[in-house]
Amino acid sequence: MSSLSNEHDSQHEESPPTVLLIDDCPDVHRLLRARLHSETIDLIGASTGREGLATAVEKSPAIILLDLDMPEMDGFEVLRKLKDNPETLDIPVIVLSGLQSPHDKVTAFDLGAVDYIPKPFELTELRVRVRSALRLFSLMRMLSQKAQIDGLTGLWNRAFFDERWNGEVERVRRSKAPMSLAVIDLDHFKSINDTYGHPAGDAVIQGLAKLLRQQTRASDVCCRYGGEEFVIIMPDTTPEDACVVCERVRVEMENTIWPRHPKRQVTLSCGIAGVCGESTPDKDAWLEAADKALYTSKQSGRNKITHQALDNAPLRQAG
Amino acid sequence: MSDCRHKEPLLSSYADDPEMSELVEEYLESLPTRIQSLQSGFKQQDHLRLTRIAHQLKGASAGYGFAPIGEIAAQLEDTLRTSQTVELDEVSTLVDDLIDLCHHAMASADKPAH
Repeated sequence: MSSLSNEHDSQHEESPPTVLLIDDCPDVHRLLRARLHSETIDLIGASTGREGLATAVEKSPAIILLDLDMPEMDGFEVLRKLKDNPETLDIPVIVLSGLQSPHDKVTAFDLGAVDYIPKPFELTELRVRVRSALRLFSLMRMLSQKAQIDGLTGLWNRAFFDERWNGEVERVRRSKAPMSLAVIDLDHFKSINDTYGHPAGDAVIQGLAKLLRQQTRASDVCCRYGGEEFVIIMPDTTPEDACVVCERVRVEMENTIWPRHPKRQVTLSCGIAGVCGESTPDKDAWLEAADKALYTSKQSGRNKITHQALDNAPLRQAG
Repeated sequence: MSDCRHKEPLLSSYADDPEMSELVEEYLESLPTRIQSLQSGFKQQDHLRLTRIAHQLKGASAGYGFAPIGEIAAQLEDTLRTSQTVELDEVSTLVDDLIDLCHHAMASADKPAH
């Protein structure tokens, strides 16, 4: 569970945010504690990467300050591991570094750090950067919770979909208008993360979200349903017409060149279930049918769309 | 070793910062122990220990406002890491310079070396 949607007791609105410092130098801990004591934060420390990773999972801090220059597990490895773990990947990391090459700076940001402060750091500057990152984190969390928006893509999140889907199905039951539900899943996504790292995976998800926004109509409701799964509610749309829209997305996706891995394309599979206006299935059965259509797309080679009209029988394919 | 280093007192860049005065004092008080560790580490040709001390001193010194000490400590650490040996003349010189600077910092703050 990402720390953005976590409601640990230690993280509720009134209690001070937890800042985790991972640094092998005890003096840095002492210095930081002195300089940040006037801030309303709860500073906790770890002196090795290993300890830091365990503490991050246990305490779910609002921010991590990470020293790059550590003897056993170096800072980059710690950063990679933090971003690889779903429980810690959303925690903003500010990297502290005595290493000065610009390449290190690029690597740190590329691995997902939100800020980079060279050592010896101006402690006042550190203080304001920490404050700024905390502000950002709390805004992101508020937005995520209150607006039911997915933090990474800006699309509606699953909670929103569940509520909305219910309403849309009821509406169609009354109006007898056509409606379709599309379920989209990225093909072989795990291997993108494994091979190119999480920032690459994130870029792909954001890229797909952008395509969805561009290619769908104003009345379509695009949601990020899960890690690499998206659903689109398409009112007033028959399965055939939904297929046309999704086919545009499928083709664009297939043709997209990703900067981090230009030789490796990413495709998607899609399942559509819809009605032309005669009968209205139960909302769960409807979702299940779309899921089954997705499954068919996967089974028959991926990079495909399978669509089905629920008020008459056969499965159709495109792609 | 040049003399010019000893013309200027070696004070913390945070010398005028009330928030830091206690911390700077703590750092200065820790120097005798660090100097001793450097000396024995070098004498025993203990590469790992010497590297570790240099690393810690690098991180600490800069943080407490003693950049010159931090710089020499960084050089010592780098040399040790690259060469993997304590036997170089360069290492010997750097250890001496480092100890000298530490003494100088303590003297500048009117703290006797013991």
